Amino acid sequence: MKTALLLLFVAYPSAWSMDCAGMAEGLEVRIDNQVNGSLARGAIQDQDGIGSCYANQASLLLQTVIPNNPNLSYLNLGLFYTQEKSLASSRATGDKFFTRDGKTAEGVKLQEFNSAIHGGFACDTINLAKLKQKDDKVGGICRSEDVNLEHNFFDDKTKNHLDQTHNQEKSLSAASRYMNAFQHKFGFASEEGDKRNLPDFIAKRRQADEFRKALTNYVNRSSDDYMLKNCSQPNPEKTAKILNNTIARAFLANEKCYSNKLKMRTDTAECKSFEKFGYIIGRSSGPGNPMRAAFEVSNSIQKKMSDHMNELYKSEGGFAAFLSGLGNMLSKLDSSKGQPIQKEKFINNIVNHISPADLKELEGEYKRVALKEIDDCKATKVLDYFQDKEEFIKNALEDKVLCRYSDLLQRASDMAGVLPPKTFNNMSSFLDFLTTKAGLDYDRAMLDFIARDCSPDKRIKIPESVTCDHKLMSFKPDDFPGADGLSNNAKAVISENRTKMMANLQGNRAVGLDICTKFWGDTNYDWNKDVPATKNTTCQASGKHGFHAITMIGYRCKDNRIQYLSQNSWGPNWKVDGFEMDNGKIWMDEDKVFKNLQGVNYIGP
Amino acid sequence: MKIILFLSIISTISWSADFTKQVWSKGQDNYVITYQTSSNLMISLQCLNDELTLENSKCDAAKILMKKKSIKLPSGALEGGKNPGAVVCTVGLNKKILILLDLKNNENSFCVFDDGSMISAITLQSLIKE
Repeated sequence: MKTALLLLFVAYPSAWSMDCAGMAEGLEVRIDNQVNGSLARGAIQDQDGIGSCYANQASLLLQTVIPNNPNLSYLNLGLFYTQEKSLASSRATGDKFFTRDGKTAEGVKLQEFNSAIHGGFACDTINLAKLKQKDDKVGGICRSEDVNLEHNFFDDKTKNHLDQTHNQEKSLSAASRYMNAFQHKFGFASEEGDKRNLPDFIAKRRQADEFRKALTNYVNRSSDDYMLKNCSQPNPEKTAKILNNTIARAFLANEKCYSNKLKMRTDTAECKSFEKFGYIIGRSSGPGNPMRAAFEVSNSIQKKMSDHMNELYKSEGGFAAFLSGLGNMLSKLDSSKGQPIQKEKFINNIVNHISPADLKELEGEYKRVALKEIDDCKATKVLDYFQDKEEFIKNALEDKVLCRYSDLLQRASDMAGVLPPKTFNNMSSFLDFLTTKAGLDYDRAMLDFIARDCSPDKRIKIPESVTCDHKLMSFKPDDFPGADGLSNNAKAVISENRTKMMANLQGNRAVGLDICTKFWGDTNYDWNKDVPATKNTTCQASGKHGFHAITMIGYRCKDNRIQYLSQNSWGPNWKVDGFEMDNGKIWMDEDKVFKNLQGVNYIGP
Repeated sequence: MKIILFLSIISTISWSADFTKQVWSKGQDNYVITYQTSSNLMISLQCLNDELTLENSKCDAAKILMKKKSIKLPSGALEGGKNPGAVVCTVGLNKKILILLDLKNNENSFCVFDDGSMISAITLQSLIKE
């Protein structure tokens, strides 16, 4: 079947027109939604404010040709490119810094630029990754799931990334700024190699060692008190939620206590007891979301529960005794006039309805607050400790060594304030970045920073047979003279590429498009028809839309027009007015694609 | 066999009122689902009418059963032992699946419709066109 389709397209493209020509109306080929499609498990990525579109495209292109189609990290690919390409030229001129904090030609100091991953090209990135994987310390490319910064924004339910708050960008930029400050002070102090014997390098490394020891000692000294103070306090909100949920489950399990319209009934003594605790409501979080049934504990009971809970947490008699105390507390709060035996049954019923997950949470709370077992809590407070300016910076500056490095401390604190909570779950690994890894090459330091679960043996190797061929579109100024008119050159370029694109998609391989997306916001705009001398400027000057890398993953014949489906990396909720969208993907007419296409990246073989 | 089961569900939900309420949860969100013992049908509480049947129900979950629409799945869609009802829900009907736990921690997939009504996904298996 596929062979027949291939022959059809190989035979047909010598004729150009904007219609479907020989393709059957309704025919659709996609590599993202068929069972064996190479992108059937491909996530929609969200590069948010990072200039990584080429790396997003590269990750999808590679996913379609690597066995088992793994989701690869676009941040990893972007860091490789930034290290080897974008930073290489600035390093050659002596600038070793990672965010653009230079001066203009007029000597005006520029503020640090916020993009920690610089723009680039997909095929260059893929070829570079193939080269780098030959180094044993690199080993390959991390899977997306092993890059915690990227995975933090992965939704297991939708299998897509969504980072609407630009936290990836903020995190990488804050880390880059820290590295800038660190290397202003100490150079590449952690670097190995032939510079080790240079006097300047030795002096810088000595200073870096002094800083490392001072910061490590200070943190070790002061963080225990901080953790104890912040980890052993009761969390009334969490406890209240657990109790609310338990009472709700007990109530809802007793169907005599409410009608099918979710109205409370008080026909029986047990239902009357519930009435003393609160009321039932049904609510939905929006259209298409099922109605949740909730039992709301009244404010007065809530307050009393909170007071009693604080007392309960003082008990050190074990969790079973704590649970028993919980039952006694609820019994005291039951102001119904039922018989004692009925009341006891009612309370037991509530306690028996605590969910396994809530029971585990409650046990964790008990151990943390009553028994001061705070190791798990400490793992969640690493970043809190550093971002607490009062606790961390103010006291640290009293140290006779650390007081010389206030800018570093400030930037460390700023960085801790923007990192997703799970980025670092132990103090030593964060300290390791702050005092050592920040003195390494950019990609090594950053990968260590964001990909703690990505050891070289877990990385994916690109097969040697994989190739990436960048083809620049060779349209001429007069190739698109009229509404549907095309020069012979345009016909030939389009026919050749259409055939190749479709053949790739039929072969389950994605196709990379480097395109001026200004037409997404201005449907009359055609980049390849624009005046050659200024068209690059007009595309970039379009503000929201400029040159962008997206990934073609399908085509179809609809309403007698060829349309291509492309996957973007702006999250699953991305929409463009006037275009048919599908979960972060866009259908575009063939003529619009070619009139705005700058280049195509063909992954092979 | 599947056709017989399907007809049995349709006829039962039209005439019987042997529904009981069950609580299903995700985290701290609780949902009340009615369970009809005779047909093994689980459907949102809001789908029952005042007579406690599904007769003339306006909720989407009930309507999909009443319509008796048969759904053709793409070849290979059920590969790998997927819950066929869940595939009908997501691929055939383009709806979402919500996995919930009951009070004993049993897991069940529900198909969520646009109006928020839900039906146990496995029930939709009977809609598959062979």
